[in-house]
Amino acid sequence: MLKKIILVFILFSLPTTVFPHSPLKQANPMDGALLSEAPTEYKMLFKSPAKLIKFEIFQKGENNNKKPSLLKGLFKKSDGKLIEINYKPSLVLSESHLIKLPKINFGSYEVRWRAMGEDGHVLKGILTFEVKGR
Amino acid sequence: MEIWAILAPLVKVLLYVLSFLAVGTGLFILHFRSFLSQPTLAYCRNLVRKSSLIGSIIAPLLLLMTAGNIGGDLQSAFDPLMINIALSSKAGQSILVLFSGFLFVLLWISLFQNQRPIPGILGFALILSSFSLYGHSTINGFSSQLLIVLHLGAISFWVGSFLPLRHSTQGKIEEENLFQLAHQFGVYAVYYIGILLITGLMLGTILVGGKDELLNSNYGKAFLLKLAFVTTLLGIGALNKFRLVPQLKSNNFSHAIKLRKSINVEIGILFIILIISSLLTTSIELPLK
Repeated sequence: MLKKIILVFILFSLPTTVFPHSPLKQANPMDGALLSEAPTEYKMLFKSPAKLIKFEIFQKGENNNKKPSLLKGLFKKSDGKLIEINYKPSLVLSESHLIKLPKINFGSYEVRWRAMGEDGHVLKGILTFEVKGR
Repeated sequence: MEIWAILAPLVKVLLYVLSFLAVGTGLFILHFRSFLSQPTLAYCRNLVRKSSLIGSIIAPLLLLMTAGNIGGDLQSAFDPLMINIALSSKAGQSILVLFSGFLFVLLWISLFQNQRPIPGILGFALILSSFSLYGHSTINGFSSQLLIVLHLGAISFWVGSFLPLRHSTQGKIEEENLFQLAHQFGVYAVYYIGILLITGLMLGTILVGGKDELLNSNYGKAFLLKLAFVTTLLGIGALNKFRLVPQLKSNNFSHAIKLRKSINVEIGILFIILIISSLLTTSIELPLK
């Protein structure tokens, strides 16, 4: 009986794994920006104070626009090439976070970030920008 | 979609069910021990022991999953830095409180079951308070946290009583003392349901905001739907108390079967209420935000 209760409860609760709305107020470069010059830093402004735990930037290749399969999406982050920036998790709650970027070339980039809000919930998002030159 | 988006809520839901069973069936033993037959008492103890044991194994796993969810990959679940961040977060602290609560209940049911209820009560308090440490329950400070603890305590009593009551309808009618048990349950249920309704309505008022939000927001509509099912459940409970339970006096087995069927329906409705509650706490935004 205990097993049945747990199983049924789990099955019915599956649709609850939905994560709506973005917790970001602003990002610079903004999401989807087309830039003439490569940015040297990335600025993120949250709606409420958060600890920025992870900040990763990937350079996307030509074939990286394909949508990953569901199984791949469960375990793999990005098909792009990770750019080393040695980001150390910020353990300070702040609305604003500034990340220094290394020199990057022309191309499309994907920023994947994770943060923790004041209430302990994990916040996350993906932002993109492209450096096209003049 | 990430693996954590599937695993973490599943484990969380599992912990909710285990918590309700450990606390609720524990309270059932404390209140009704003298009315229980040996097989039903053994069934209750077994239910509390299993729930608290599985809970104390799964709670640390949830901590690792929290670390994995913070870092976003499988390695993060075992990364000391991410585990440390998880432990220092409100979510991590709530898991630690929940874990210690399960341990106290396990200790109580395994060692002190006959004489000393204190470790058990301490365990119940820790388990219930762990759900008040973060999320919606902190929206109005201590008052809303206290309300959620009382509300969950009353729900636990209800959830944790259904299985032992159902079990007692399956035994030998002359051994089970079913009338006394069901009658006493009805007496206690009046108080617990009173607490459940008062705290639920107060929490609803705090979280929903006002009449407009209640009628127009998704959160308000889901809240009203939950209230409709709770009212149905209360109606069935009242029917049982005033019609079915007095019939049990005759020690006729057919009345025990009727009670079992009614409890099965109540368990079904309770599931719907728990699902709506989990949607209210995870997926539906508060109208005040």
